[in-house]
Amino acid sequence: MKNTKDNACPMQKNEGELLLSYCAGSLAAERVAEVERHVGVCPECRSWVEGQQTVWQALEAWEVEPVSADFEAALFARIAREEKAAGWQRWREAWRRLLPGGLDWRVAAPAGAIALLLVVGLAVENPFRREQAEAMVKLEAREIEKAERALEDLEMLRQLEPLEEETRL
Amino acid sequence: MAVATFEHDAELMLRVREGDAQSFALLLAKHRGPVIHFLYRMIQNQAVAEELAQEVFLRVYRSRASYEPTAKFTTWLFRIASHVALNHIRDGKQERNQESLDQATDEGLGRQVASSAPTVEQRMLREVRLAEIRRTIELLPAKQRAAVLMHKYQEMGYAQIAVALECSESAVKSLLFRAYETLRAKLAHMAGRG
Amino acid sequence: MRAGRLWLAVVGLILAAAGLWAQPPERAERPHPLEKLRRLAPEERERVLQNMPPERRQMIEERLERWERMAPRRKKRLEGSLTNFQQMKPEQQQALRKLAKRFQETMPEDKRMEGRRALTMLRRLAPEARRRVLNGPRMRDRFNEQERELLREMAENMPD
Repeated sequence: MKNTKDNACPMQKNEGELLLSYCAGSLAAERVAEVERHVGVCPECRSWVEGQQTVWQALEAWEVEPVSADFEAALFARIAREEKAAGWQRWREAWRRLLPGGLDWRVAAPAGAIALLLVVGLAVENPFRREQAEAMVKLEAREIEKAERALEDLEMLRQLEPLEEETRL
Repeated sequence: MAVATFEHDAELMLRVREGDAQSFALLLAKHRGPVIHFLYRMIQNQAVAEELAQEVFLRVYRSRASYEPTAKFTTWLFRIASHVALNHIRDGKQERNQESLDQATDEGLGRQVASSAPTVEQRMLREVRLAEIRRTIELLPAKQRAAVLMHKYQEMGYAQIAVALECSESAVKSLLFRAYETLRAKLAHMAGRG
Repeated sequence: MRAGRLWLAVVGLILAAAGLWAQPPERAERPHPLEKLRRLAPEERERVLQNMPPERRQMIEERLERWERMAPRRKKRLEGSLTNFQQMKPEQQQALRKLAKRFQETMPEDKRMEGRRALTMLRRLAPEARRRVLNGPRMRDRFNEQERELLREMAENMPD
């Protein structure tokens, strides 16, 4: 029978805190004996405890999936994107503070074009080297985990194959 | 032990505040599992849980400048995680239920394959049982569900859960009492089925 | 006004020239991360791996080396298996990883090679034939019930 708060055994007062702590294994050692003595003689509390232990065991059986291997890499990539956006925003605000009235376009346009030319010139100075550096940076983050996972999976698949080469070793 | 952990996590977070990315990576490595598992049990969809966990850790990172170690780090972390989960449930319940249903089928399949139980019957029984547990938890009101999950799987005390759910300790006791009462009634038939 | 148009034309010309100049070299198809790691020069690989915990790094290096030493025919076959494996749903991949782990942990060492041979044979069979073979006297002699169940699950879930 289901207990209501009014007719329940006094041991179940305060939202069953004592019995719940007992079932959760978080009750102080000196009180465990007290609860166990009571549960031994009180059918109502015994039934409560048994019910709670059933719930506890059921919840323990609920396994979870492993976390995706690229979780951290994806998070760091998001943080990097945010930081980049925030940096750009700070830069724009700094310029706005520096030139509150704006800049005459006749000066800004050629200055911008020259700056762009310089940046492009530096960037394409050695396109191969740049690509290589990019590949390395990417490899360090997300792809290194993918490569590692691929190696692990290859190892697993290798270990499941019976092969001439291996039997000869 | 708890005090040492508290100090260590808070110390790491203070280092993050000073711009130490390595400390953030350490905190992430330590807490991503519990956070994702909490969110997964709240939402019951692994992909969504990981997406929400990204949001949680992003918020942790964004809050680094204003971080003050006034509470245990995990309490603060689960406060953010609960907030994100409860908002998600409030905003997208219909969609979530559909995804959750789809995934339950997929997971059932996956686990059936991966199960270590020796016979087909035992495996099937286990699947049915797990599906029932998941469904029962899903039917709990979101706040009760969050309280139970933090109490059971994170072993958080009433005071910590109260901070995480932004309510009083007596409200937490009441949430847990009602949630466990429902669970005892719905899962009673599982008694003795180890 | 005329000066303005002149500036615009100059800027346009400069940008067009820069665009042509900066045209990136033709990109090859994106290689797989494993292939990228393999292709890195030794000093680059060293740089990529240097911050890893030593055991993790050693594991990667050993596996890469084993992979590189593998006979081309076998390498090709395993590459095919890996591609098929990677096309499976994540939960199926995870299930197979767990099964493989169980195989390594629970199959006695002296039976493992035989188990692998049985697996190759079982994978080629249709489900009904597979069940018949698994319940046949030869398999019953060699493997106990749990081992046969494990082999069945693996045969069903392994990629082609």
